[in-house]
Amino acid sequence: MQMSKLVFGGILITALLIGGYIGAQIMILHYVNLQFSSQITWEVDPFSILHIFITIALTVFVVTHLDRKSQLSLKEKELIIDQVNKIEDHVESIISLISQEQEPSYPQIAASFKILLTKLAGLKKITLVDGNKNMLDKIGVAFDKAKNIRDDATNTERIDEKSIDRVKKEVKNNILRLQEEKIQQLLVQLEDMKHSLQDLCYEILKC
Amino acid sequence: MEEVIISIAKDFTKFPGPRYRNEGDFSGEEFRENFLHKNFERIIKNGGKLVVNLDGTFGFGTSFLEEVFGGLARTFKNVDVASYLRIISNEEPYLSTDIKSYIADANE
Repeated sequence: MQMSKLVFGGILITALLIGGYIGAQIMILHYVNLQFSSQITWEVDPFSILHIFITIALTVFVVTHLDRKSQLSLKEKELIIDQVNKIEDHVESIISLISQEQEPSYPQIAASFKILLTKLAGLKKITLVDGNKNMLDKIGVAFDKAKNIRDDATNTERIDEKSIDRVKKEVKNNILRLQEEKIQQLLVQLEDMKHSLQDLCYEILKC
Repeated sequence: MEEVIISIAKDFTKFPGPRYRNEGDFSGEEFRENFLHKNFERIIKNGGKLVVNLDGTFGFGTSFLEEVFGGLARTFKNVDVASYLRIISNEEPYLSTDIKSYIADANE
């Protein structure tokens, strides 16, 4: 697309230059009383030829190489954003798992968080190669939030601990029973996690 | 130096459960008592390392791991539990750090 625009621009400029030249010739013949010599002298300056070659080479380099590089970086960004969107979808699936009427099994919740954390760790690996610091920081924030939510959802209190949290969350027959208050708290945390991922997408698009 | 290797996925379950036996199947308490205790005592006696491989499961809840490793530190109060353990966790490398903190918290 960019190439065809460039070619079109080149043709347009060349046409304008030729048109301008012919127009100037006609004007001179009509309005100026000038005599041109019938002999044409050809002078070849090797430096000028070299200059032309360098200009052509540079133009070709800029058009082909740099353009391709910027296209590649765009594809990388698209891939990373696609990955972030998949993670966001997974967070959404955890939200529906927690908020559904049928209580989830403890191993099911644990497995969901393993997938989430592994995906985030994978994303960090990809962006470590050429990602900027802000991007890595934001992935780090999302990762820490995911770990905190996992702890909050799956860490049941010890018998010897006197905690209010035990009342809000318990496991029976491998089923995780969360009280409404705890569910709401987890849902808020998961929504916050989604915001962090959207923030990350914005950072990727910026750089 | 002796090395005892226990893989949770191969030797116990691929679906680790909650903290206590009375909460459900494949609990941290069950794993600690049936798999870790004897082997850990043997390692303390003979020297060496108890290697626990965490890879291959579908995922751990926090209380399973806390009960296994924090519980081990609470049982063997006067032993530097961490120095006898080696954790393999290639799938979730951050779990090694978590386990260290569970042991440290249990010692406090």
